[in-house]
Amino acid sequence: MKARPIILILTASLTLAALVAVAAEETAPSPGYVEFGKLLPPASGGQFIEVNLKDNLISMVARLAEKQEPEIADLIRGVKQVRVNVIGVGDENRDSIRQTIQKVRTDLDTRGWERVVTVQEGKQDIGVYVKTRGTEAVEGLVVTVFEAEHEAILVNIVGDIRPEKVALLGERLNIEPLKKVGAALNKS
Amino acid sequence: MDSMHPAAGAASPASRVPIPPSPSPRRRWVTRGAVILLLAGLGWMVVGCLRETEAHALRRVLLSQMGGDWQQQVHVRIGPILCTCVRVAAGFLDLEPEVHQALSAIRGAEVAVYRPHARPDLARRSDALRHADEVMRQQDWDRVVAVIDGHDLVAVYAPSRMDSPRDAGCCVLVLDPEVLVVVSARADLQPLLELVRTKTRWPQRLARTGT
Repeated sequence: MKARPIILILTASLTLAALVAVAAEETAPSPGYVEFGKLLPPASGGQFIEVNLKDNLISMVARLAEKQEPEIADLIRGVKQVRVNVIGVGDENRDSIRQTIQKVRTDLDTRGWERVVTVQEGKQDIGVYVKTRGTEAVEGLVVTVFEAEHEAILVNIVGDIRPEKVALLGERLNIEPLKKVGAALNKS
Repeated sequence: MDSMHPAAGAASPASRVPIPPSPSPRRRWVTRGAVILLLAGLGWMVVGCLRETEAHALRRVLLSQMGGDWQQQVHVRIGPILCTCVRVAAGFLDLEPEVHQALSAIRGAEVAVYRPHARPDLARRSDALRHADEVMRQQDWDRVVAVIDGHDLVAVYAPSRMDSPRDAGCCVLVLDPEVLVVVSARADLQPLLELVRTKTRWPQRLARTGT
């Protein structure tokens, strides 16, 4: 039959298009993901810490914690990625790190992230930003800390997190910053 | 009577040797299957020994990137079979329950220690770490943690895919001016977590701090 090759070609084309679409969706970054740029260790050997926990590790931790701590496991399960950068600030990198943090904050403001906490105390400059999906969930959390004589800290948490669970986790683990963030999220 | 043709009924010495019955076709197939499985198992073990482990790949790239001469001090590799033997042997010994619990968790480990002949150039650490990341990514391992503090570098890698906490792996690298240590291990995390929970009592501590 003459129609058979055409049907085969159409089926193959549709399958290929579907596979390409799925691959594109998988490689697209999550809405809560924020690119910090290239952060290099200070040349003078100062402190540099980089943590990057992806969803495979996080979901494994959630499975381990499920029996004993189901609430924490439930919260962790909503997290897809955790990135933390701590960089020692010295004369050779102070300006570049300040510019990096400013660029990140400007980018977040442009993309509609909400600044929920701002602290400027002495030489310490702290900003906490969240990206929410309506009132349902927090898709991303960014914390920027800059201490001109000491260190800079950048944190990005990506996931599908319920605001009330952030506050609960802060209460259960007695983590003050999390309590504040949770309270701010519940208010907004 | 022709001597070349023994008379019927007269048995010659050669004809007294009993001829074994030929194996049945089923037994032949079972034997062939067992031989094939044995050869496949041996081949798998040989390939496993020859395949570059992630720890070996990490050592190789770090030593080449840091440059200089390094002397191997220690290299120990314990595979799953040896771990099982150690677990079985430990069962006959009077050890602490925690030791048995820890031994039951370990699936394999590899430790290598190198010392430099001359102090390495620590300015090459960042590039060395970047190359290590690329090599480990080819092995489907991601860097989870990196810490540089003064002269010390510590990095931790984990497999990109970990389907179950019963077979979790990690690779740790420690580099300072006097030593390079690479440790790789695979373990069942459940008994280890139970051990940590029992020893540190962290759930109770969490409950106390939460109130």
